[in-house]
Amino acid sequence: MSRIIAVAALFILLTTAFAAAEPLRVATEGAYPPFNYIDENGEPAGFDVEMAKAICTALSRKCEIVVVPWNDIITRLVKGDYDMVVASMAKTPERDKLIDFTDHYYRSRSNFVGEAGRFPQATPEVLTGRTIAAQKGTVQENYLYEHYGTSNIRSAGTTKEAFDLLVAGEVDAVLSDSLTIYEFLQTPRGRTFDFIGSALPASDVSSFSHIAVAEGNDELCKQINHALKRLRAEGTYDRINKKYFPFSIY
Amino acid sequence: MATRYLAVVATLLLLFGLIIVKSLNSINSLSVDTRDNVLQAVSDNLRTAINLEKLFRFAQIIYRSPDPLERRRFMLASHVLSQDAAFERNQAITDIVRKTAEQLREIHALRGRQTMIMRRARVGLETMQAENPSFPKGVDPIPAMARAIYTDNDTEFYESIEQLKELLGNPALKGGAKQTLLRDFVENLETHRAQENRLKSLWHAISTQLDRTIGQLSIRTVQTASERFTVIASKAEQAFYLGAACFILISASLVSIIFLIRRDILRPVLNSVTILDQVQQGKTPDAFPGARLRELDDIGRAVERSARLMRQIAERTEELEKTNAALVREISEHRKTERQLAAAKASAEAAGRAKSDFLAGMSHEIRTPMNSILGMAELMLETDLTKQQRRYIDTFKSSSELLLGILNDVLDFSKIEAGQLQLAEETVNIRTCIEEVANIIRDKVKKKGLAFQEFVAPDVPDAVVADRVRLSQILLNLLDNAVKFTEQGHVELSISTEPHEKDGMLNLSFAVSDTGIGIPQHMQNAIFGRFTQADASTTRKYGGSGLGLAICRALADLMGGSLILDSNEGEGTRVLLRAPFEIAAAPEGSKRPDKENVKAIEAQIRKRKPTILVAEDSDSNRGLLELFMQNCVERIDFAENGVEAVALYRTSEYDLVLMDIQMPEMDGYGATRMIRAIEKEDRRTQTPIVALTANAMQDDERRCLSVGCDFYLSKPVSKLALLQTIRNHLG
Repeated sequence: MSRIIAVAALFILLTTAFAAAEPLRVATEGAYPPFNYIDENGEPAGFDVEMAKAICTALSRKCEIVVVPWNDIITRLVKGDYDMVVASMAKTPERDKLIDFTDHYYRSRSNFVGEAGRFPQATPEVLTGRTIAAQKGTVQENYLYEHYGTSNIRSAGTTKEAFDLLVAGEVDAVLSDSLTIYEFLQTPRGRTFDFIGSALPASDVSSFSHIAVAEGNDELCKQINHALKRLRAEGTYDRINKKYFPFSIY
Repeated sequence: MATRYLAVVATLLLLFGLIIVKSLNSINSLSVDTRDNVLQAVSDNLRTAINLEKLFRFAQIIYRSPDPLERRRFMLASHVLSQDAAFERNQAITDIVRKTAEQLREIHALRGRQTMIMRRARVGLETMQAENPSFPKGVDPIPAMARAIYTDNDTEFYESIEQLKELLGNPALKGGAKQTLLRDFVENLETHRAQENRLKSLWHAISTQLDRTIGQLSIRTVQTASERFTVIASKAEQAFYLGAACFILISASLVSIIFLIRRDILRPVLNSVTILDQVQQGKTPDAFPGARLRELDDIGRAVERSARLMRQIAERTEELEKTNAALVREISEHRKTERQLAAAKASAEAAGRAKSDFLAGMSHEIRTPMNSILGMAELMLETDLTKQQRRYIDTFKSSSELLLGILNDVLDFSKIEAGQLQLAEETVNIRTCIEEVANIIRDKVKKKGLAFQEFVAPDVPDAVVADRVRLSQILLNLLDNAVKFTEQGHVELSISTEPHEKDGMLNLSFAVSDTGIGIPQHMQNAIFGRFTQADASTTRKYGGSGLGLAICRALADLMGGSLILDSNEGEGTRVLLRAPFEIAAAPEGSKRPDKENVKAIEAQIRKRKPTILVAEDSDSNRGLLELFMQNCVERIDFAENGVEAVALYRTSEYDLVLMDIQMPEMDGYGATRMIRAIEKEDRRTQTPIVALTANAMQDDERRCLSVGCDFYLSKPVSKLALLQTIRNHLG
């Protein structure tokens, strides 16, 4: 008799635990199409947002998505304002000291974009003296500072602003993720522009995007990795992928 | 032997184990490598193939799509796709993909230009149509132009171009804007055609490249996987065969081990058990047939021996049982005999008691009247008597004395016969005793006009333990005989010593010799017999009961000695009494110069009023010691053995302990040790312990002192020595 009571108590405890499971708070930038942006309804949308929602479902938790400016996105994760960041973030050693990263959830190399046919290559030599823009606080900006010392570097608040500068003719080229450039080049204002030169090395940190969690939150990190594997195995990942790109970006 | 088997088996097992483990390990590492590397490679190849296919599909869309936006999208997509990291694993593929991407760009660009050209051509046509020119008959290009613009069909397109080219050559159209227009139009179309050819060749190049590459990739992938799996399969097969071989070998080893165990262990054990069984059943056991293994052989032989022993034991037990039964019978017989004997003994004892009672009674009964007779005779002699009366009473008295003598002899002899005679043990001063005897005999000797000599050897001790009365009796008897049977010459009494093997003892020889008539040889034995004198006439001549010598010999025997006769008829007689005596301390009252010292020492001791514990098992020795000490010691406590001594010591305080060493129950050494232990335990002051030991060897001294004695005296102890020791050790 006592055994039945014990089992029943455990059951209740577990179910209440489940029912009282807190929602996962997810942060994204909301200014990085096609990965994360605000749609016409003012809601966060994009590949990252759909991935985040799919992960929440896989972890049987509700999703609360907040939009945070790129500059604050890491600090506020450290502060604990949210549990994870799905915003196409690259894993650098400096960032790793502050927060923890899951396995990568997509791969995409970075490219230079500029006027079609203007530059034969995008090497530092070719772009010497030219003005190149990148989003502030990104690995691309970092890359420019490290390798393109002979060029002028402009930092834009968002990727959109960087492209604005290019369209306005204020910069000669922009270094950004190839898929965001892919998106931009298909817009009407991007019509006259094209990829320049070769992509950044496949091994560069800019080629992988990870989900970030608070430092030491190994439990959530493991859960997210596990969820990613599951999504890929179930085909959910491919479904979302196909929606945005005609090829696999994993 | 067993260890050799084990060593072999263990080595084999180890070897097999190692081989199999190595085999399995290599399979494992191969599998892991396959999963980690080959699988990865296959997966990469798959991705590459998929992406190539995708690229191919993009190429198709770029090539075929009429929508410039779509074409641009897929051109951009193919650019991005061509950057995929999967393509960079293989240099060849990297080059092909890059080339393809460039070609696609070209296709895209060409298609764009084509669109522009066609638009220009259309504009030209529209312009032409708008002007509505009139053309000479048969040279109207507009239909052909329209056909070229609007046809989907390549053949029609080319036909139209040819047509228009022909028309261009027509002189009817020479000059004017129309010709220019037409020429431009045709140029555009030609360019378009050239572009189309270029596009076709590009497309052809791309499609063959990609097809081939994809094909090769698939084949290579399958090959790699296949190779790897073949290797794994062969290794697995190897492992399988090895495993099977090992299994067979191990089974064989096990079988042989079982066989060996059966032969080398089971069989000997069973043999041993059989042997034990046989013994248990009472049969004679078989011999152990031997075993290969030394240990089991030893066991088996031991079992065989044990079995034989057990059989022997069983046989002995049977014998014993028989013997036992016989013994039981004997015992019951003996008991019967015992009872009979006991009865006989009882009756004998009763008889003996009766005899001694009778003797005692008789002795008393006879002596009393005899004493009276003699006494009366004495008294009568003291009265006034006539000569005649005195003569009669003298005869009466001497006859009475003779009779008394004879009666005493008879009584003595009866006592001896009845075994009732016991020798006393007292300290006898030999010289004094001899003196007394000599005094008695001297008168008789003088009366007969003989000489008397006495001679005592100087090494004769002052005192010995003896029965003074009986000794004197013997000596007197011998001397009497000597005097009696000597008419002239002398009678001599000499005493000498001979050593005795025992310490503290001495053989004394008392020799009585005379120059008398001697004893004929043939009579010498007989005279020691009862009631026999040399001859009947002797009795008449010399009187006497004839028992004397018999009694002397009996007494000598009782003393543990002998009486020897040495005589020849007419040559005198020598009778030798030889017996062992224990040397005693000088008896009390010996007139020695140290008598003064003894008195002084006694005074010294007396002042201290000491209490002394004496442990001595011998009655007489106790008596002696008491005599020695009774003048000066306050209190003497006696213990008869070590146990009593310790018990007494526990309960009382003593100033000194005299500890005899040779005692029953617990000897002096043990008692001394115990006393010392008690002193330690109870923190009493040490009491001086003086050991009295009959052995006087060096070792004894050491031993006495080592167990805790303060001093030791060797027996026999003189009074002086004892008192000196006591005085010295009274602290």
